[in-house]
Amino acid sequence: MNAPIEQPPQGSPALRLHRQLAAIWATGPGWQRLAAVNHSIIGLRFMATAFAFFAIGGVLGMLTRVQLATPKAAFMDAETYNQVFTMHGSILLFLFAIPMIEGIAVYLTPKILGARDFAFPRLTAYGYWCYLFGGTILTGALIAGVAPNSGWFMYTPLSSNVYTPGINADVWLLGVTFVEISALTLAVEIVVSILKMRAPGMSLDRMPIFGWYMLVTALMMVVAFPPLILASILLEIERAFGLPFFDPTRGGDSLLWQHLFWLFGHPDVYIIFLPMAGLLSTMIPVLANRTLIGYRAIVVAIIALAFVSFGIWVHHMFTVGIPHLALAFFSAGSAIVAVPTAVQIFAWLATLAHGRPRWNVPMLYVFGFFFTFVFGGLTGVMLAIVPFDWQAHDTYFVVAHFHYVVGGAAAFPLLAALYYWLPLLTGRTAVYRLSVPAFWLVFIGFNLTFFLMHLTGLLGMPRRVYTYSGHEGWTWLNLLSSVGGFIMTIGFGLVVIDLLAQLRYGRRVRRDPWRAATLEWAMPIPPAPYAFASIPEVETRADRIAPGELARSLARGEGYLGFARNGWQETLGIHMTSGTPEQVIVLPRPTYLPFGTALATAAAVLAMLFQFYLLALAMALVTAGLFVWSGQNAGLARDYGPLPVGRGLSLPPHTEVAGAPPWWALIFTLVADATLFTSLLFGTLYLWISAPKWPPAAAPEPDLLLTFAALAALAVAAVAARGSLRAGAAGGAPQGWIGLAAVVLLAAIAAIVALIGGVVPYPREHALGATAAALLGYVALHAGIGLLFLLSNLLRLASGRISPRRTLDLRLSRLWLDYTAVTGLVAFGLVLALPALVAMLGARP
Amino acid sequence: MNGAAPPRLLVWLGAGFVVWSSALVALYAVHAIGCAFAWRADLLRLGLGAVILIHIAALAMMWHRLATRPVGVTDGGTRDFLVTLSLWATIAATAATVLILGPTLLLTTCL
Amino acid sequence: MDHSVLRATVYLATAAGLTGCTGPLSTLDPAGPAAASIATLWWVMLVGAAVLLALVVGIFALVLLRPGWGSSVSPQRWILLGGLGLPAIVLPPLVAYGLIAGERLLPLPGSTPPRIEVHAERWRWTARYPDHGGMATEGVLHLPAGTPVDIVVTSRDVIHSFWIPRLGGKIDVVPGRVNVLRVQADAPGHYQGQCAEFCGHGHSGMRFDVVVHPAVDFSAQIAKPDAAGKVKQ
Repeated sequence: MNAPIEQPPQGSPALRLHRQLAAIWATGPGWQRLAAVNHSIIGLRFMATAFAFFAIGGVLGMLTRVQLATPKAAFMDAETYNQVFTMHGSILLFLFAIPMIEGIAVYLTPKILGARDFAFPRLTAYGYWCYLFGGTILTGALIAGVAPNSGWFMYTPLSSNVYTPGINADVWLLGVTFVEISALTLAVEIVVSILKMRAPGMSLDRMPIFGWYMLVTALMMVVAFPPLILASILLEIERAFGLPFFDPTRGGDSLLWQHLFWLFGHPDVYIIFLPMAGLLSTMIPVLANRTLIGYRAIVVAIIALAFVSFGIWVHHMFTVGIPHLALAFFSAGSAIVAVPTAVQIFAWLATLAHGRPRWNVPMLYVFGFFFTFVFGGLTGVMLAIVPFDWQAHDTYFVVAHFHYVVGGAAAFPLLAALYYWLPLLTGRTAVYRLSVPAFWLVFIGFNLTFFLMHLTGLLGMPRRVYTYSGHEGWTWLNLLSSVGGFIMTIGFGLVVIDLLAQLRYGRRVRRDPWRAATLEWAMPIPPAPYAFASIPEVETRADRIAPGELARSLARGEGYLGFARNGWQETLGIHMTSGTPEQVIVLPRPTYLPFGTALATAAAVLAMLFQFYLLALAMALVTAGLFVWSGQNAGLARDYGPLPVGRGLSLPPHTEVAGAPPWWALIFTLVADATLFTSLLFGTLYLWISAPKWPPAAAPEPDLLLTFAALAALAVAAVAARGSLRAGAAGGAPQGWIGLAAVVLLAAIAAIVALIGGVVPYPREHALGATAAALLGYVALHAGIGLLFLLSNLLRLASGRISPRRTLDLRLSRLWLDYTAVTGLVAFGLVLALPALVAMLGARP
Repeated sequence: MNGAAPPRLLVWLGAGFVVWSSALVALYAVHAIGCAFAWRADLLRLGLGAVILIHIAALAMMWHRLATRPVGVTDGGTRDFLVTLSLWATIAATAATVLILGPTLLLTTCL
Repeated sequence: MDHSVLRATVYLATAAGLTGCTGPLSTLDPAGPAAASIATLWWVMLVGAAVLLALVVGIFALVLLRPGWGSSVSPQRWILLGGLGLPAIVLPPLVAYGLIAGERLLPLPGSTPPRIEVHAERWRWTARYPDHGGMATEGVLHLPAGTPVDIVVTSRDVIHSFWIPRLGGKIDVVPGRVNVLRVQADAPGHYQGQCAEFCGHGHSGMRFDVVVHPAVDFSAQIAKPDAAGKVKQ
């Protein structure tokens, strides 16, 4: 990190404070950079890595355009082409779009909300390393010629091991799941941080609109990623161990994959759009010199958008044979989802109309956004109309549509945001000579490439064909699209050169060049590792700040926590809605643990990929052990009571309050977990009602005794967890209760393993057995994780990290075991109900 | 600072759309089961209609509850903000339920 | 003089436009009632979309280039009219029209058209004609003109998609399931169909020919031993 540009006079309070805080928050040089946990560093790493993957994915796209420029081209054969287009989509969506958003969220959110860092810095770092390693596995496979080749959405049975026997599909399933689990953990962190770690006084109605956008997006991620994770796990189990979930010859259904995938896939595109819209909602008011119009309307619109986007996934499946009446809800919903988007568009137009907009490079890219995104949205509404989709589905019309919306919703706002915020990141402004021609090359190239594809699709060119005969009337269109692609690539190249030029030769700035109005500018430029030298008290809506004056005041230590204490990295936690400060949050210092844990996780993934399952299990246990180890130093070693935080206020540390960040993190993790569980329940019921070859030949006969024993054991474990909490809070010895809980959990796991062993029909023979085994396995896994919680509690009791005032660990275990018991009840209930459900099938005509 | 805005108000922001989600899921499930078990078309349609009506009734109750909030909350503070937005979101959810789910009552049932 | 020049220009432009839309697999060159209905829907939507795009981009341009333009309209009105009003005018009629059009394309009971079974497997199409002694053709589908036929599609391996763009929309061929698509060609002739769901490296070449015979001649034509694509039973 560069030293900040602002250098106050020698010996001033601001300089002393800066030195003290910088020493505490700094990351060491050299190898110690692997131990970084600071959000500014990790955020930049995410963004830089995402850019690298954008380049790779973009090149892959250009390779397809070279192949398709002429009919019967010999540039690539079908097998190579299939890997190239699959990786183009997979890399751009999983390794560029989502991580770029996460990078922006990690870098920007704490600053714009007035916090010094995110809630779980080590988790942020772990998320980055998992992304890097997962991305490397995927890209490595591409170089080795074994990249996934069944399309970025991997429809079964094509992606099953019958039709894709090599490791290509496993690379996708394992690699993408690896990256998505880390994205999920980041999503939980973002939710908790936005809710609990804002500047004092920043009640929800004063939060900058970007905070609302990220909060809604992160909540969407929490609910959208689990169906994909579940589907990937089930498909990998089917490929590796032969349990049929999607195999229609054994009671599975290939449409189940599609439902689970698109249940993730559609919200995914809004997860990509919303943060960009949040950036636009932050930039446009500044560029128009007028506060954002429609703040409240926008919040309601994005909430509506978030929910409705989960209810329209079947518009990707209009041609699979689902009855028209069912398609109707998804068609109407897909049209209505345009309304919240229109609300935002017109809020932005109103802001521009009521302000004094200026033309500059960010505004140029805002224009690019308006044109391409509205265009793409309009073709989206066309595709929402079922009969039209029956012609356009799976043609280049769809390819045109989604490139317009993704280009519009992601690429143009991203570039606008880069030009806008690069002065903050780097302390320099753009040179501008290249920027405008670069924009026009990108814009013209983009439109030439993708506009023609609408016609190409309507002339009948399907997706994913590696060549064409030349007699269909598509030749000129493809050639021109390819030319457009090259123009666009040159344009992007110029943008990269322009941005690099800015980094090297840009004019240095001390303050924001835009007359911005949000908190991220109220600090030295580029930001110091501690972000805020002292934390502001917010008294107006936090997009009406005067950052310049505030920056000086905060640097002098006039806000909260304007001092160093015990070498701690401190920030404030607040009441969720009102913004009243309520706790001091002490954050972990740099450590190699996230890096090491990510390595262990990657080792587990690679072992599974190469089918060394015992090794994979061992590495999974090592990973679990590392997580338990990471928990050992979390929190504080003794009780502290209220600590002074400046401005006459004293607050307890986070270890001694009820609503500490880890508590909320577990709650939202369980929301994600419950979504995965619900997807599994619905998957089972879907197969029951809809899959071919039901009922199976062998009728299920679940063992009642074992099931009740397992359930009873889980209930006792939950009760014992309560006992341990009561004992801990009263100053007694919780170890007895913890021991009891551990013993009954082991008994429960044993009972469940026996149940799985006795599942009829045999899980490899029919999906009924496979889903029953999956439901039981889910409960056993949670009981096993419960054991990890209990182990951690015992260790932390021994080291004095748990006390009557610091009972967070015991409350977390109780919550986990309650969840395990409840999901156990539901899972066992469904397994016990299976015989009756199967018998009902006899009543079908 | 406004201490009268408990965190559970945040749940109300999404509650209307949670009811909409339940309506969508229930409708899709009843339709799938009804078609698989070849229920009579008019009975199936009645069932679907009942599902929609129950959910609209729930939304109407929530709308009413939010619209007739206690006196003194219109102070422009955080509580007012959250209650107002919850009301707008619930109205939007009601519109979504009627517009998205309503038309299905008129179409051929299982083809 | 001007009149005829204008007329000629219009004819030429229409011809050029239409030629740009023809092709053996073109959805904009309909040869059946389903495709015609959808093509009409498309042209209507195209005009509507062009108007809306021009409106939004136009407003953006005006707002940027003419300072103060639009500032007399209150913020609330901007959002209500643009965000709620505009969609409310456009979307319900469009969705209603789409649902009605969709209903009409379904294989509704009430008529029992002849059935032809089409089987997809990597990477070829086979058609069986149960009403014609169970004969089969490979790579070619024979249809009677001017009358609907229900195509019953099955797959032995992965998901494919049965599509004859000039006649109508597509239906996915899902292994383990039986889907039905009602197809009708207006006039005799030769058409083309293709697989529209990625099914592996033979996907690009998985096409089939469609030969439409006059309805009265249909049985006789396909009974001929040298009928296109016929396979020995």
